[in-house]
Amino acid sequence: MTFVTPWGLIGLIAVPLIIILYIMKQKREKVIVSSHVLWQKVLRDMQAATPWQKLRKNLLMFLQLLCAVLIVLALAGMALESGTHTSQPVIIAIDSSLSMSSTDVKPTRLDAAKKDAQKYAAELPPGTPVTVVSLRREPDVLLYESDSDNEIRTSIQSIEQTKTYTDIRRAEELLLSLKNRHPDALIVLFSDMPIRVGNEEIQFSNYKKQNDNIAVVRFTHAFSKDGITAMSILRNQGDNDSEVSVSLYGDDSFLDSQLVTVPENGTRTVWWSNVPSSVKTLHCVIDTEDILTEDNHAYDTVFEGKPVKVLLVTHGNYFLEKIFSIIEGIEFTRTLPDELIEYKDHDLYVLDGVVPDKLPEDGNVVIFNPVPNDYFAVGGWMDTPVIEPSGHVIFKHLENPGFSVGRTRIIEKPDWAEPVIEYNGNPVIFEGLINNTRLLVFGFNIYETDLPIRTEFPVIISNILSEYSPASGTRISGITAGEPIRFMLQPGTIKANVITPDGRNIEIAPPVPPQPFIQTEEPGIYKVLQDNSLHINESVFVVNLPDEWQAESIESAAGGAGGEEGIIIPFRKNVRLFNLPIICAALLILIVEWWYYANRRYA
Amino acid sequence: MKIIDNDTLKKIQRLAIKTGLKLEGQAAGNRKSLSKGSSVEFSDFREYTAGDDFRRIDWNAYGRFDKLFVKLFMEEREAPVRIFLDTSLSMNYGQPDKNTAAKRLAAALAYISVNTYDRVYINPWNSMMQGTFGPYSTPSSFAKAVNTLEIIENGGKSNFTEAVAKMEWKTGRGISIVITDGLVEGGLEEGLKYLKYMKQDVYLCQILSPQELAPDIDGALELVDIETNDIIEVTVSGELFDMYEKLLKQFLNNIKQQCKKFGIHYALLPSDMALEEMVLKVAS
Repeated sequence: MTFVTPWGLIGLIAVPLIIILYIMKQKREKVIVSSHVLWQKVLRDMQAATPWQKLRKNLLMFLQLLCAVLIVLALAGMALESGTHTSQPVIIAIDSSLSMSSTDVKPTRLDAAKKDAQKYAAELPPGTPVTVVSLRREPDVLLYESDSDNEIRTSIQSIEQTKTYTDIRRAEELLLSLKNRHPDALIVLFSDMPIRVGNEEIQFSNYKKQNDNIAVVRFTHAFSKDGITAMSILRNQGDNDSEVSVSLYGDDSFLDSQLVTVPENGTRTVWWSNVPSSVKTLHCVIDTEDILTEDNHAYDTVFEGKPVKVLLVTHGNYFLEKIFSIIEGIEFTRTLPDELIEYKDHDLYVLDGVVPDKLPEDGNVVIFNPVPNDYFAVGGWMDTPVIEPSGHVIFKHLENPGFSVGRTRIIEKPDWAEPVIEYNGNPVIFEGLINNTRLLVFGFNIYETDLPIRTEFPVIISNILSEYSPASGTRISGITAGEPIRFMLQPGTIKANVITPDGRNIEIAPPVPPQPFIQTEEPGIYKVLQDNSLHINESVFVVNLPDEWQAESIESAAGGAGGEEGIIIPFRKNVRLFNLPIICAALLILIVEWWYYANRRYA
Repeated sequence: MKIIDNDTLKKIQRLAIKTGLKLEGQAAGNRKSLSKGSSVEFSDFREYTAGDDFRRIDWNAYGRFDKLFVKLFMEEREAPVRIFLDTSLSMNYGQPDKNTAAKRLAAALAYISVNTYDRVYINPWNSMMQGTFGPYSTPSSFAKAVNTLEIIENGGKSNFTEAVAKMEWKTGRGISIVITDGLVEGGLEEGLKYLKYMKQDVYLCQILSPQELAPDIDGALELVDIETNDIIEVTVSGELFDMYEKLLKQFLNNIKQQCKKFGIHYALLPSDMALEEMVLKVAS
């Protein structure tokens, strides 16, 4: 037995009130009679004849009490918990994103959700096929259409807390596809945020009790003449302004602390100035505890301001010389091919119309206008290839990169290479790795394109510098928990390891190049150790938690997979309500009362 | 309060003359018997009426007045008519109230008795006798009797047995007319038995108001006893009325049976009954 709306029980206060009204001396009219001789006999005989006569006086009181109690039960939604009426398939979706580790629901939202989900599943009629889905960055079907109580319970129990946000679009797609297989399936969502699935009806069990959480959602730094200036953005998800203490640590040493007020449902930017430029890592932490402490931390790495050493080898290329000379942060050297003795001591080698016999080993290589060489076959020319925009990193920050090319080399794509842009099967731009040296090859002469006169040109060159200077291989930023990383190890690296914040030492190379590194669940500072047999290079990168609120807001605003408004109804345990029979009984009692009054001998 | 008007009195007179109405009782046979011996004492005259023993005609009076008169003897004077009038508070009830009806009846019966030269005593009672008024034996003294009745006030509880038992009696037969509502503490039985013991020819005139015979009450009430001021709570219902009706019938039947058993004349008289009817009912 349960009550769907237990607040209705407050109506029971009517019971003592009714009794008090009856107990209070009923006002009776005084009537003079000549004698009690007969009346006393009458009352005596009536009580003797019908023992319940005493009660009769109170019969109406009992009827009214009963009526009041029935109305209260109807208001409280008295119901019997039972299984669903039919064995319709059920899809149980449990959100295991970061916000579900909040402690406003004890012990955590996820633990409570799992417990409720297990209870719900246990109460389903035998034979009900159940699918269990874990919602996170990559939603996962843990169990498909099983009616085994044990399997269902175990799969729900196996759901682990993640530190990622729920990819709503993917979640919707998955649930919709499951629903399409069984249109009569019931979707029950255990989460702190409703998800619409097309225009399907979803039962939603809400685990967000309150929203008093403040998170560090951005943390970055910049160099200034006084050292480093750091900036952190705090977001308040609650409905009240909140004053919190926030501290800054550099290389695990305390640097500064501030007391700030973050407005309700808003953000506050906190500036940290005069940070010593010798620090390698920065850690910002909100000292005040709230329902979700995981997002009270943010990390940043301070990369050394060492300039990238670029060597341009060309017979003469005004555009390349000009662009490299004006980009800040690089040490640019130009040389003629005939003047160069050996390729060394530079971070990036830009070769224009030149391909050396032996590639440099201490830096990566960018080749424009290749000539026949030992590394890839260079043939004749292809006229006016059509350049289609590509999502490659060298076109980062460009909306619709495109330029015209007069002609490009016909190149047989080598096995070690992947095309960046190709036309009719011919790689116009391609990249690859030879002996741990990265190559980026442009099959055209830059003079035979309009690229140098386009605004995209400096951005592309800058992107090339960022991506192909060796330090950038492990100069990783903007990683959120759970996001995979593809490391580009320094040339000559034979072995590499990653030390996680919780102290695990994970070997990532060999093989070289390494597989994408996926063990980024834990936010914090990671170290990368690259061993090139001469020495070990140590670098760091940080992993932060996603701004879940923003991510899910954006996804939610973008609309569901079905593109339409779904129907979300509050989660209802499998209950059978008794409202209708209760109200009918109450009405019947009222009718009996009316009949009694109407048929009394005297009104 | 005028309890009897001239018109009603005339009706009673006519009734009494036309039908020879008189209170007949067991003593009446004795009254007619001749009693010889020194104890027979001439008492008074009255006009001859048809049926009187003509041997009692006083011819001297006839010679003097040219009218027939009969002699009355002391023996007859030993058979007074006592009217026991219930003057407890319970008689102050009803519409028309029982008290007025009772006094009117008492006056009418007194008149009839006086008219037949019976001595009439009026004994108001509640829990005790409130005195003995009379004798009223001549038509001229009837007015005094009426006056007495008019000034008698009601009060107190009723206990007939107590009242008659403590009364000072002159021995001898007589007629006792008990006018009451019968709603008496302890009942009437013992009192009536006592009267029979005292060689009385007893008439019981039970007067009840229409509201007692068929109560017209409704709702949740506090019934206040007019005599004791006690209160009982009732909630009126059909069942309640059925029970009252049944018990009333039983109560009245009980009294009737008792009267029959003891040879008492009994008449149930609603207070709204016309006086003439009452008288006829009592005297029949």
